[in-house]
Amino acid sequence: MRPYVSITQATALEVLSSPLSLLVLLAALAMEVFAPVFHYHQFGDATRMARDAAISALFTCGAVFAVFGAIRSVRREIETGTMEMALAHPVSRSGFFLAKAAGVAVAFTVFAVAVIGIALTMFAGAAVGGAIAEETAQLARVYGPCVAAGVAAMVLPLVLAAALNRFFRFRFTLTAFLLATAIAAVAGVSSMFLAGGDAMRLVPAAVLAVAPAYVLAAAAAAFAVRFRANAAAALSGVALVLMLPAADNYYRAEALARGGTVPPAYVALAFAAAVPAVVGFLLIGIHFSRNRE
Amino acid sequence: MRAFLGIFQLELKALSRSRSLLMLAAASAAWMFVVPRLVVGDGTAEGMREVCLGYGLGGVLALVTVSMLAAATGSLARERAEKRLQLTMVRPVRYFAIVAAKIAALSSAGAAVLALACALAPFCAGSASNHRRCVHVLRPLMPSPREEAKAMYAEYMKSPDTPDAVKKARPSTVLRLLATRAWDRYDTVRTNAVTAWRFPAADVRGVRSGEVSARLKFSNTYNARQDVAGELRLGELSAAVSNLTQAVLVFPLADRGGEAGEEGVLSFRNLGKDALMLRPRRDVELLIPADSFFWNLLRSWVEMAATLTLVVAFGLFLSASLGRPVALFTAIVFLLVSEMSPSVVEQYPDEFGATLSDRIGLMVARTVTEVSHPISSMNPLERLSRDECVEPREVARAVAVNAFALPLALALLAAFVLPFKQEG
Amino acid sequence: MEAENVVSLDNVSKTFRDFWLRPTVSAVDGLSLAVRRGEVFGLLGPNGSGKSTTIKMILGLLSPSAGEVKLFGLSPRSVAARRRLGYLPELSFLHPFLTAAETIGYYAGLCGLSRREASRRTRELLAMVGLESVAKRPVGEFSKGMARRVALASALVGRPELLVLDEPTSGLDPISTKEVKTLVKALAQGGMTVLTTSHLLADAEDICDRVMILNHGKSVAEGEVSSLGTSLEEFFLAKVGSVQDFALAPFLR
Repeated sequence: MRPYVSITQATALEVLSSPLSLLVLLAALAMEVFAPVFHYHQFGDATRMARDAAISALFTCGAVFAVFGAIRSVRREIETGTMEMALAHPVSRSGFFLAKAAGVAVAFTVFAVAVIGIALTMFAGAAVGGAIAEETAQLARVYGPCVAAGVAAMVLPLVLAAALNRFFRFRFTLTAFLLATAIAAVAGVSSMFLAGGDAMRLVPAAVLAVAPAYVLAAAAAAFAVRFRANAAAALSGVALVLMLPAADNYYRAEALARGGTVPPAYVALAFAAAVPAVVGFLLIGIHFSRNRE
Repeated sequence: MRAFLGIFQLELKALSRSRSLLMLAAASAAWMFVVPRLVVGDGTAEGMREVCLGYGLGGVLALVTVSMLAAATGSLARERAEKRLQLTMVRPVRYFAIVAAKIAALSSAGAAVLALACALAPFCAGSASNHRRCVHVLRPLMPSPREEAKAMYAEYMKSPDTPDAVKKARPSTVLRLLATRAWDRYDTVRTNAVTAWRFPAADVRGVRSGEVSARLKFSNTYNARQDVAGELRLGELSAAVSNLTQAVLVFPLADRGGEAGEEGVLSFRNLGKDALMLRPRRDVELLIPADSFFWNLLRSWVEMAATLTLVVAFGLFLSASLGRPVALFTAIVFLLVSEMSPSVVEQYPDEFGATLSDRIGLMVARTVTEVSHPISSMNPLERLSRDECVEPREVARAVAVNAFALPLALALLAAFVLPFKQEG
Repeated sequence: MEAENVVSLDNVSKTFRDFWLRPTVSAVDGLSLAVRRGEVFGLLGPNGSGKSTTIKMILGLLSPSAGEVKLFGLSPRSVAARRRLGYLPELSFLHPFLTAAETIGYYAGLCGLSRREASRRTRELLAMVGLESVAKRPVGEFSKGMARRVALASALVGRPELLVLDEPTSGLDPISTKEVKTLVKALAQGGMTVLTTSHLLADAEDICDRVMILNHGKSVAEGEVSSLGTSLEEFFLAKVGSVQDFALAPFLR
């Protein structure tokens, strides 16, 4: 088990250390923070905008993160020969592939924590801002400290990571990613106290939105074993298109309107429904790994 | 020149032997046949034509743009990572030639796939509609909105009705506001009154009865539905107007005898019961027959290929400076933001009274719109599907700017950056 | 009159810096060397001694932090200088989708040869390196030795006056090694100047007229091979340092 844990750990660190991963995270956070803040396209409904932007960011940026993280990680191992070196040790091909896929899943989970943390912050801020607007009869705005926390989650990690790299030679990208996640997580948890139960409604919907990304990560990792990066990405795109009819079941933003919520049981069932797809793609990946020369 | 051709051929070989080009061509051809079956039209031949040209060609354009952008962002970055670039850089080839040859190769490949899709478009759209002629869309000769804004500025600032916030604002901001208002300014035509618009006489001269049409959209104070009645006159040609407001109406002008009007002047007499309003810059057009659908399609292709060249050049510049995934991501985000920014700017033209965050957002959106204007302003497919002429001068400008000037500048920048990036 | 020195480095240093412009590695430090026309010059040294960095500065791929590098009296980045240069890298970085003939033809085009001349030269070089029978096969399918021969042919296609070889015999079997050495000697006898780097001291001893030994970015010795008075390996070890024994005992218990 130990070797596979090492591979998983190394893969997760590799994905989190990639500049592209950091860019995708920042893009997702920017989408969440700025969509409800600029008045001219939220039509006065900052709460809805915060909710929709958060779930869209998770869905789209999550898919990009998962697919490209998986493809880059697996292809790099194959093309640089480090996979051969690993397989020269007592590590099975199937185990190696599964450990790689698990590493990508771990990295994506860190990404999801960061994005959900800021989603909670902005949603809570919009709810509080809306309440203030009702009292003051002014235009609804996102509560200032929540916007500040959102912006801080994007800017502070870069500044701190730069400083840590400058003075202590920490790896910039990995440090920035982890700091962004930490700040987002703290902001998210704090905002739950700010807006109370209202912000919690977003959690099941956000968790639901990440399920397709795990399926895509498994698909991308499997295709990357057999095909080159471009072909693997194209096939992952095909997998995404085929999943789209079922994607409705994972995008439940409208369920949150008018104080509604997504029941946890529904979330559990939806994840259970995604499991066969994940297992299917992992089995395909195992087959490709075993037959790879 | 030999070196340029060598690199050009190498890039094309890389695309063709990896089967990327073949798959792109096949996917594009398949899309042109699949799209009329996938997208539900309005059941008319016209609707089908719009689906084929808009969704069909539009889908291919999007696919080709993303594919060539991906190839461009990967080109130099991959060669640098695999150390093949240094083997080229130690040869007696200017770095500019390396970049320019790759731009030429990738944009040629993309243009070839677009040409294939355009060749299939007539079959997709239906042969009957392809014999139609396109039309030149002429607008009234008027000062530009900016010129009108400058003329009004002094008086507007002195007016007591002008809000204080506007009077305190920067002149450039006020001029921008006035220019937007000039663009949307309504003329009112009272009952029995005549209004006239002057068009370029040279373009209008010699048009025959039944060939030229006037396209108008009437409105009223409350944007409500109301009857429209009147008479249009253009030289010896005229048309009776009878319809409703809030709709785009086309009136073929024919020789019905009677008094001739001034050359190049389209006049309208309001014979209805109520006053009518129109925006002269947006709601009044003359449609003059131009050439065939084939030539219009060809001009559209040239314009699309020119814009594709600019996109490829941008991708190669990013590839010279960044690693491949980061370059591709940056390029796609830039394209997406540049597509969204014009609508953001349009929806919120009046920035007075806006909060600081909104003004910052508007400033960013406006900057991106200005920078991406060469790409976002090109929209030949919309005009093609409406049988409007893609004007030769517009095509010439697209070729000069998008296919030569800007790619040249980007190639020079990329050549400048290349040796620095090589240092690592 | 043509310069006597084909390559000259005058007190050249190269320091690599990080993003914050802090120096991280001083790869070359105050190096001066001159490669004379018509000689075979060997740049030797242990791993990390600065050989590759020096070669890259001569090729114009890196710029020196201090000092001056001249190639045929010109800047290494000038097109005129690069026109007279041929380069064989340590690893054969070829386009896998091109055939052997197309690869050589491509580099002939980059050297400005006309189509007819490029075609003639390609046939000539394929015959010279013994790859005529596989001229139409993609180089991606070639073995290491075959790929190296294609790369060598590509380096020679423009009839360079200076041939730079980075570890030319590295990874080759004994027969291929002998072939490369024979070719280098023949080219040198034909008037070509050759600058080579190598770890394999026996090979360097066979082909080089003069050698320079680098260590930690500095030149520690320079001279004619024929006047060493000892084997190159002993001379090298004397200048660079002794072999360190690995502390194997704990692993062997």
